Amino acid sequence: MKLKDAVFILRSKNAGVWHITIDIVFKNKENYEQAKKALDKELFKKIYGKKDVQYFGCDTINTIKVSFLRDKAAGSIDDRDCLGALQYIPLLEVEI
Amino acid sequence: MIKALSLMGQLGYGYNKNSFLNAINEGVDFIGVDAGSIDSGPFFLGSGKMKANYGATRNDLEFPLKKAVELDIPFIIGSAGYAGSDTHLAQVVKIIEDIAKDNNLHFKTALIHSEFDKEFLKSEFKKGNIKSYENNKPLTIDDIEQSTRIVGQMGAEKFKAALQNNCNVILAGRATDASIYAAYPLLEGYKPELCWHMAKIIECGALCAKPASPSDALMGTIDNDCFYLTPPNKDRRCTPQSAMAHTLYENTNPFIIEEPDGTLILNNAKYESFDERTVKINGAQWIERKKTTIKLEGAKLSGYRTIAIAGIRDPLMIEQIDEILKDIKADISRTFGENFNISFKMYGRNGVLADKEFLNNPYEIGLIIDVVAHTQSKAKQICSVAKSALQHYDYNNRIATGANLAFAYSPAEFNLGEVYEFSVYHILETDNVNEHFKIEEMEF
Repeated sequence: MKLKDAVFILRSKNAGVWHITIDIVFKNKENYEQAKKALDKELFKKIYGKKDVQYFGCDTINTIKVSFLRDKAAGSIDDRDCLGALQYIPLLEVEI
Repeated sequence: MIKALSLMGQLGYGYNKNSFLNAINEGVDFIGVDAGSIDSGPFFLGSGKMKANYGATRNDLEFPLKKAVELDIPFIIGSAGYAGSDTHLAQVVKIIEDIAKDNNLHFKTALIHSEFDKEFLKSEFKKGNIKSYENNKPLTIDDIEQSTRIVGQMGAEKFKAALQNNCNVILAGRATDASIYAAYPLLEGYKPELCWHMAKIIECGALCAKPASPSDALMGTIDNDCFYLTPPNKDRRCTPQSAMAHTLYENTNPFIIEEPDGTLILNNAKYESFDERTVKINGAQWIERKKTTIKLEGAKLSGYRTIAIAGIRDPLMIEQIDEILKDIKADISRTFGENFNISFKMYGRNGVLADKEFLNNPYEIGLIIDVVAHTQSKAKQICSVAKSALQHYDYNNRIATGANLAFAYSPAEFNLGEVYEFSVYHILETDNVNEHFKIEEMEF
């Protein structure tokens, strides 16, 4: 199953000027548990090219949340996504 | 019980008058609205310009403000003029003054200033009282000096003080979104964990409802042991899922929300359906901070921008586009030196994700040649030269020797004016910091 088919929310957004945060809210417990095995901290580090990410599994709400430092501050000269709103795209097709 | 009405998620996006009237008819203890954010980038703070202009801001304020004065309930606006500096406050004061004059309204207003003195910040920096925020770059004295203005996000304290002074309208500079809504029920003695948790969700208006909208209202009702969320618009509903999902929004940590006055901990928060359109929430914890901590925001001018927009459609050129642009960039550097920034954004290829793009099969590229230099005229000159070089670039096996680019506009270059960058986004922790948010009272 692809991640995009397992969720009812998959979004990214700035959390302040320096961070991107990604919310992945699964349709049900089953999808969430399955995804937790496939989507570990290492995978996010690899996809986003980060040395470290904050990773949260929120069992009570079937949600994975991941936050990390931006490459550039929001709105800086070379930034392409001021709101950080399209940074979830590389996750859409990930197999869980 | 206290009924808090969040007029909408962001002042100036247009509000829903029917929802507003539904809520008013049901009874409201105070009205709040968030007018600002840092989301749209550093331009507004740096330049002192408002994001929503005079007309848009006045449109959203006029009728609700009249009703609030008529009903004698507080009307609380946070992060005035988007970035909340003194110049932003002054522009919104003018709007409120015009509304008062044109409607023959009389009321007491509290302005709460949030712009910080740079000398004070420099001395706090030297004392080691300004820290990085979740591993962002450490601050430097230059960052403070180069900022055009620096504001601090206030907590609930000064809102409470203004309410205690019986001000009908509170117009605050930069404030945390939740402080706008937490102050009133805190003053009335409701549990802080309920006040802050409710405030944190309702500040975005109906964005936490289904269907979601930042341009519609949300009612928060706080009781002794829980609070309720209901959208006054009958076409929307709040569900446990929609409320929970919204609590995650724009925070790095799903369980912890830091405010100047304390920390909200959500691990044990409970969300349940109360009726078809209402969710009932409780269970959060609140830990009051010993010393108020303030998030500082500053922006500095980093140059002037000119862009050109060009369409590229020839498959041979698209195949070689990386090498071509590399060559153009090297050529521009040879001609103009180092003191500027040139970049190419290829929409249709990797314009959004840049090096994280995973597909590569464009048939068309929307190219933006983006130049930032120390003067507008230099930016324009460099952009024109780059555009022209690309227009006539003789790439390998080229058969179309007319020109390489499709321009939809004449002229092809656009001067975009000043470019700002965030220079300060750090935490100030010092004694009596709330005293730096000065209240100024005005009578209209």
